[in-house]
Amino acid sequence: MTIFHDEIEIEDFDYDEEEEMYYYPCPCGDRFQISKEELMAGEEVATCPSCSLVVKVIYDLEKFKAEAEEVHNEEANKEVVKA
Amino acid sequence: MKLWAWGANSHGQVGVGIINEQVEKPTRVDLPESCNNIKQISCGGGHTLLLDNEGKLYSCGWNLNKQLAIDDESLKESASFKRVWCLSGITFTNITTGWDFSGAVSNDNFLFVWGSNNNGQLGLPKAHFSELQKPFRLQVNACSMSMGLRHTAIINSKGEVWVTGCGKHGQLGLGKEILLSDRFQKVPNIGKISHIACGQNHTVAWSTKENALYVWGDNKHGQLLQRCSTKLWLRNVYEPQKIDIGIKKKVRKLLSGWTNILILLENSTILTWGRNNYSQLGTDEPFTGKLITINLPDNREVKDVAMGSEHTICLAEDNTLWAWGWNEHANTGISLDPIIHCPTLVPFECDGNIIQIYAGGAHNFIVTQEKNNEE
Repeated sequence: MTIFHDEIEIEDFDYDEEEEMYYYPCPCGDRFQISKEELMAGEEVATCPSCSLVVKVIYDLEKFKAEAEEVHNEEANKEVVKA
Repeated sequence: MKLWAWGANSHGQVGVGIINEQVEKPTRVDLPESCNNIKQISCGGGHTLLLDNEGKLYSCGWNLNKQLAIDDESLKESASFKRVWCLSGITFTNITTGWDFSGAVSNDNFLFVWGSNNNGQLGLPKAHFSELQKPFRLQVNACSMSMGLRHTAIINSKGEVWVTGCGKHGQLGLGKEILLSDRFQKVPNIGKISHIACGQNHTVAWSTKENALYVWGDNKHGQLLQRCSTKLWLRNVYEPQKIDIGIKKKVRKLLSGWTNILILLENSTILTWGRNNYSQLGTDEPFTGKLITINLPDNREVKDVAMGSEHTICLAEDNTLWAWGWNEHANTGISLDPIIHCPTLVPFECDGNIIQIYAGGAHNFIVTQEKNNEE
């Protein structure tokens, strides 16, 4: 069984749009991270590249997918306008 | 005078010239030539700020969110201390660091802040200031200050506490309605405060005048000693709660890790409480709500104590160094065991005395001075 250092709500993560990654501080000085792709696939464990600690991401998968889809469509529309 | 450092070094925060997972033992740190004597060091999450005796600033470690105040957009991390040139000409008297932000008080009583302001933790209105901020001078009289993960608290000359930043868990103490503030606001309904400490999502304050502790914020691990029943902790405390914890002696230091608290009394007694999954409290005993008293072996007197996110280092009067808590990154400098369960001697030999100790995140600094040399 995984022992989580903490349970963190998705809105408390910092999102890097370019990398499509979600980040939250780790007590080791680095950051817990999980990609948008992983979250879309239902993954809920964010890991730290520097240590063994992990946190559980609290989020609603269906809602997350729906929001991601919405953003995707908006971007697609922008592309159409540009073209 | 010599500087030594160890612990997590994922972004060069230990300042020994390399970036690696960890520096396992106290290791010499070289400083720029202009820095002769160290007045103070403050350890953030992945960065470090250093103040010399002439009031000049130096920084090293992670600069992703401009927490180093180094004028180089491309510098994402620095493995060695560099002078903070953009603040040269100003004499500073006190420094502090949060997770990815920093602050310094000048000798004319201004507060300078820089680094991440994405939760308003610098006290700069988000509508007018960048999320990643260069040093900015605030007309805030900070006699004492503490920065947490995403919030800041200062004590002014009247003993009032002013806060800014993320308040989602109650850590601002401004009530349930104010869950974020991007300017300093006064915390209501507290006495005259003398000590302040910010944790991950909580704030604790001590009033010497009242011999009382005030707490607000996240209480998930009982770090605020607030219960909603005999078995359950109250999850969040949105307004300051005054607690008499039975302390009659003078408080020398009030410190906070991410989710644990420590008080050092004038008679060398150390009291700890809060989360104890890595022996942060200095014992294997589970925390049940009763303050834990920690003693160094053989009745050693405590000279100073410093705290990281999940570990503690402690200097004894006989010039020995002790540590306990989370040790995955050799945070304690003792061994490579994942946890150090109780106060344990840190193997360290030098031809001098340890005169200053500092910790934060998962890294530490100590300053030594040669014997018979008052410099």
